[in-house]
Amino acid sequence: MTVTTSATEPPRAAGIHEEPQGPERAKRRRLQAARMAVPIGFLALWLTVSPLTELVSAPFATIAELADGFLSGWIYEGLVATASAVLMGFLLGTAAAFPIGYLLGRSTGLRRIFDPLIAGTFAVPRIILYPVLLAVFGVGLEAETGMVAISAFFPILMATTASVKQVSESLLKLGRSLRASRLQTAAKIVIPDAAPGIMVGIRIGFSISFIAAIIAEFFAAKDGLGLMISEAYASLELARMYAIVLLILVIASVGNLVLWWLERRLRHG
Amino acid sequence: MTGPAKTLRSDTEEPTVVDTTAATATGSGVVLDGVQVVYPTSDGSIEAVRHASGTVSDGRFVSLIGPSGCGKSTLLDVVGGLLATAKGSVSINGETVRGPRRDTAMVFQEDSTLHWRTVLSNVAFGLEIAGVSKKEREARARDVINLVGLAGFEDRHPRELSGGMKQRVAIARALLLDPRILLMDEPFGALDQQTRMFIGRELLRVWDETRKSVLFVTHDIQEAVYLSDEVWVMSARPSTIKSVITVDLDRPRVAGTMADPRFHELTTEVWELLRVESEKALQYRGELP
Ligand SMILES: Nc1ncnc2c1ncn2[C@@H]1O[C@H](COP(=O)(O)OP(=O)(O)O)[C@@H](O)[C@H]1O
Ligand SMILES: [Mg+2]
Repeated sequence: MTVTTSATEPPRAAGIHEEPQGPERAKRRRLQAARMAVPIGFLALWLTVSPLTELVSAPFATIAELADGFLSGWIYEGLVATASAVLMGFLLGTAAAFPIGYLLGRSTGLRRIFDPLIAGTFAVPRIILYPVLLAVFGVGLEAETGMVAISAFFPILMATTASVKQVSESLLKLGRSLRASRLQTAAKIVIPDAAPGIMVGIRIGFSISFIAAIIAEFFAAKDGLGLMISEAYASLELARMYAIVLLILVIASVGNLVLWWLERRLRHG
Repeated sequence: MTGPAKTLRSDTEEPTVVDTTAATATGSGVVLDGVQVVYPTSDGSIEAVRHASGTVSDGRFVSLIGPSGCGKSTLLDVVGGLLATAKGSVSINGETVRGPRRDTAMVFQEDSTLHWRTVLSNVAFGLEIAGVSKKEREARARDVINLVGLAGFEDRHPRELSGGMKQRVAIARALLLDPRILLMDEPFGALDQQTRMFIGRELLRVWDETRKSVLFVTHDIQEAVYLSDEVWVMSARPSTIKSVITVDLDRPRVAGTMADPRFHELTTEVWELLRVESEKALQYRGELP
């Protein structure tokens, strides 16, 4: 068997190999059990803690409140607002960061010029730009989307630059000796070789997109899950507050899982 | 020294410029004419090759041997059109080399397999870049895969292959381009002695069928003598091609070739030339008194 197993990388049926059998399969079962244990443990902790304090609503009350949100519809407006800000901002940020990161990774000259600038601005908390965006666009989806885009931009830019820069010199040499065009070099050599690193940046960018949207909504928004959380908190509707927190947790996790799965697909071709 | 070594760009649109004046001046095959290569470094420049001249005539197998760091890879990159000379030139069948050409193919010293692609798609990669249809390039790739003994591994990824198999993938990829000139940079460098003799014999078998010109870099004296028509011995840096030894052993070379007293004479001769240069190289680097 050439398949190796580790905690982060479950075995994969490689090439001409059959589905894993015997010990391989037992290993995979144990791994899946270990993975299931984490959310179950979380639920158990929640069940234990909630009766002890009034600050934490019970799991069942929370889930019932969330179900009510979907059934009677009060959650949709906020959900749609946040989801559109996150998705559009994330896509905008990626669309800007990826090509710029690619060019910076490929050109030492450009890196020399822009590296200090990027390193410097990276340390600036992005949220201070929100008032500027509010002044330009007014309170609403545009300002929030802009905030998300700016937040997603940096990690994706940096990851793309770093991974493109590290593309193997011998592969680039191969490309040149085969007379590959710039486009062929990008599509068939640089991007595939850099893909795992770029995907890490995209995953981080996605998580940060969510954070940025919620924080922006805490601050100033017309709609959104973040706004609903702060309103529920202010009116001490704890079940509703936890219901929305739970929803964000689920959406962010599922989104990140999809990206993680994509990343693994890319890594293993 | 006239200037730093410039990296040449491959240019798919423009064909390599034909220098007709050079065609009359030089003969057929690969002609190195007073090649000097200088690399820019952070504190000035380094003269990797001082003056290299020689001719690889059509269909000849030439080995390039020399102390490590003497500029063998550099010289191969120049012939492959990847690196510009500071002085002198390389011409192929009378045309000055100004960039990578269709009639040369390279096998690099380092692993150059694309790790996200299968063996089949790695071998077909050169034709893919050249715009050959998937069906045709894969059909042709399968033939070459058989030729280099990788049949059955078409769908494997490089991480599932040994170092020797990865080198065969790179060799197959180069062969599939059907170049007139094959430039190989220590293709068996990472392999153990048994494997390299075995693959070396297979390379000779393929070469026998195709009779391409080969410029083969190695640091293994026996390998150089066993495979080649000529062995070029390079001096320590700043380097020149110091001696050319013609290998007058019968072809096809067989296992018994190595027992031939002439084989022993030739390897001893190369060893003597090389020993002097290696000592110079070590002294230069301060590893010998
Ligand atoms: N890209 C480069 N920049 C600067 N110096 C280089 C570069 N490549 C090679 N050199 C130097 O040029 C000399 C010859 O290198 P190389 O051709 O790789 O030697 P060999 O293949 O014979 O071992 C060495 O001293 C090496 O350090
Ligand atoms: Mg070398």
